[in-house]
Amino acid sequence: MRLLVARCSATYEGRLSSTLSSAVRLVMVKADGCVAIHADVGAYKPVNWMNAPNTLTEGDGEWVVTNPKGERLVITLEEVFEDVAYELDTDRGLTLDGVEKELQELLAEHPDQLEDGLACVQREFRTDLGPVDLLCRDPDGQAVAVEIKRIGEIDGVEQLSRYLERMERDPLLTPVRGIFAATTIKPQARVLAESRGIRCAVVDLDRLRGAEDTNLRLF
Amino acid sequence: MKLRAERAEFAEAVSWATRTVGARVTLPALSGVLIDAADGRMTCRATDLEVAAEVSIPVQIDEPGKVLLPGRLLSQLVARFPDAPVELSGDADRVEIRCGRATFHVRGMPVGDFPALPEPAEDAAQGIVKADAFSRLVAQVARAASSDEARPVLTGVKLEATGGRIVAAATDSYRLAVRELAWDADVEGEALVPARALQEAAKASSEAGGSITLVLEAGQVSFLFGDRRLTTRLIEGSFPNYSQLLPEGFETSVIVERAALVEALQRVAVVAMGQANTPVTLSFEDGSVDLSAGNQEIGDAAEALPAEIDGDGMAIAFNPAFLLAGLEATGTDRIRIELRDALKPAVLKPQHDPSEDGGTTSTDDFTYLLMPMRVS
Repeated sequence: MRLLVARCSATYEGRLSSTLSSAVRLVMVKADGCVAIHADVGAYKPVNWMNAPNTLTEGDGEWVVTNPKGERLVITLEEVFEDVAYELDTDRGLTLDGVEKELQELLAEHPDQLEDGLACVQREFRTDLGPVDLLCRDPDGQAVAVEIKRIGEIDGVEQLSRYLERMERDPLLTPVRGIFAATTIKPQARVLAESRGIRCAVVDLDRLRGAEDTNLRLF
Repeated sequence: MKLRAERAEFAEAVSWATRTVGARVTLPALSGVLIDAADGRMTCRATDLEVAAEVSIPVQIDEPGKVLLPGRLLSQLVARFPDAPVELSGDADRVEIRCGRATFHVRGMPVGDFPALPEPAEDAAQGIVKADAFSRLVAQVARAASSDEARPVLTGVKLEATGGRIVAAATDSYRLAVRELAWDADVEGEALVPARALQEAAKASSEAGGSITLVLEAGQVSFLFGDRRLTTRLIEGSFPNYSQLLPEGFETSVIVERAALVEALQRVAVVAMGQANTPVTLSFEDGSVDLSAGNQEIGDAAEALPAEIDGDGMAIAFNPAFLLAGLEATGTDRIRIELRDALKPAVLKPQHDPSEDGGTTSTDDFTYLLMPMRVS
């Protein structure tokens, strides 16, 4: 990653033409060849840029970036204030927090948060169509399949319905009922779930985590 | 169908029945009010599948029949009717409503779509309570119920009838409100009634006045007010055994003017309200209760008022909204606060002074148990 802070102007020719008048900007040259000119506003979108693959030719006070499609970005450097380069780690990818996994772990430990008296039998219970998040038994001994989502949407209800249909065929499990658990449940998903006799359970992640609640509880 | 009714009675019956008609319904028929004309009476029924309302009034019937009319539309119409008799005629899909010189034609819905409403069994156990005492009981207790649908049992009010008394209790796990009431029946039974339905019944009973009849059955409870009836389904599940939560004994007891404490709390709580989990701290020491609250973003507030303190001085912090609800529910001029320590529940009770007349005895068995907040 090469970072250049410079007073510069730029012209782009390609699908359209644009010019940037002279100002102090940040020019980034990434390891894959992408070149981006950033102004001091906006979170992510450069004022001008050229995606890889391209060719950067550094001339005297002028950078020319060309690509096979015939696009051409010319950056005229009037004064360079900073020119540094760092080796960055290869990207590990954005990890959307593992809420579902954490919810599954927490609910496996505290199934009573879904329903009083519920006991967890197995996590990731295997069916022919894939694993259902939790297999539980209620106080009457009835099997309960629990599908856990961060946001409860119709897809999740469909998924649980398929598992339930398969599990019903297992003589050791049948009759099986379902609980659709999520931190929030979309109204359509709730309607669909309830029309199929699947109970919806909204779970509070913070409460499950036992995050310190300054409001003490009676029980 | 063809019937003729007095405007005031008709309007009251319609508005009474449509109380359960919600704005958003899952089944079109639930937006309707079923009007059944038979045997010299017009019966209006409506339901949201949780609570069912029914009212019956005497009318002149030329031709019996049933129609299902849109509830909101009908209640809007009757509210604007001129002062003249109301005539309903027509069949299920097109009903003519005439009042004075006004004529309306309303499209009915299929009568068969309206769900069969639960009715109390003839031989079900029932008891009578005074309407004002009942609505007061509900006002005191129901607010402690939870609104969190994640734990359905806590959204209900537990009613237990034993030996000529009925006990109502509700808790959201932060506080518990318990109230007893004498009732005129030797009925044993219990019911976990949705708080919302109970509040609806309390509203109806304060409108109706007199006395109301409670019918406790498996799966449902009915409230009868003369020709009117509300029936609600019950919440399934077991309510927490709250009697074991009520502490025995206390270290410190405080008697304080309720209205003064409410006012001071409301003032001090201005800096705490709106900020989740900002407590109000009460320090009981040397004949004074000092209230204080504050947070870094807004500022702080303090106020002191006199109190009769018996026992060691103590400081304890509460959620101001929960404390306020308890103070408001308690009702008497002076209240008694029983404390053990800063992390154990406090008990609020009415304080009956000899100077108050006997008329307040109906409030003497109210208990509001409130869990404190932890302050760092």
